[in-house]
Amino acid sequence: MRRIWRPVLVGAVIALVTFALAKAQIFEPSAAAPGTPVAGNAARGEAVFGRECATCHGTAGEGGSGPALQRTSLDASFVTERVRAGAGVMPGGLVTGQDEADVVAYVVGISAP
Amino acid sequence: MPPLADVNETYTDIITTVFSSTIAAKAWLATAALAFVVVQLVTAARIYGRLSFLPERGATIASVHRWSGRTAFLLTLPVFFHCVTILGFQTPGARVAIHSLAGTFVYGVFAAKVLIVRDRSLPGWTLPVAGLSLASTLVVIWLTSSLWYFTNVRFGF
Repeated sequence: MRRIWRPVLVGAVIALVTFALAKAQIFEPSAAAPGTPVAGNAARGEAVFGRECATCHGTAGEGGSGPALQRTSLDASFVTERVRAGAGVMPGGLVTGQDEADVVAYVVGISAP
Repeated sequence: MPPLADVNETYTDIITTVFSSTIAAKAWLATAALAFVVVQLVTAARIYGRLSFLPERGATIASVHRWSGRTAFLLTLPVFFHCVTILGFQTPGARVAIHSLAGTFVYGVFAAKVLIVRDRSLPGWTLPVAGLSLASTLVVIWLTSSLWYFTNVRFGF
């Protein structure tokens, strides 16, 4: 009966190591530097937004189960950081690469006061 | 850009050659892994003498069981990499908290199950309990991530 503790202990150690790695987030997406210029295409970003973000933020960013984005004065570095790291129930990395830049450009545009 | 951030960018570049985003990739890889978990459960049931409509117990069933397990494990590796090293342990809400907790335990349960398989001196009930625990953990992970993505974000690659 004592042998049964061996797999349980090994499993527990692996779970602990996994937890430590997850808390460390060793490859955490880097936040964009303040003032990072928006290199995306807002028109294309609107399409990407409709595909990936509109379900929660509304078709035009008016809000839904997720917060409204229109007229909220967001800057590119803040939006980029939120897209990469996620926030609340929104997972990070929903859009990446050029899609990310395009969505950021679109969101910054609709958030203008 | 710091070297560690390069890893994230490189991973994202590789994944997005096939999928629209890293999240979509995870949703589909986890779904594929879950399909192999179902194969695992069915073949395990046959090995234990259940589901008699399936082919006779023997080398084929055992081989399918082993390879479906190995394939499921391999499919979870990119998911594990992205979740653990990039997104990390988060608790902003019940869904993500449950997902983070189950994800933390899954490889521990997997390791325990593999050790139990190889130790023939353990009581007979330990293996099905370990197998069902592993399958249940993976189902919880899938429900709180892939299913959520398919129903709340989009059903696509």
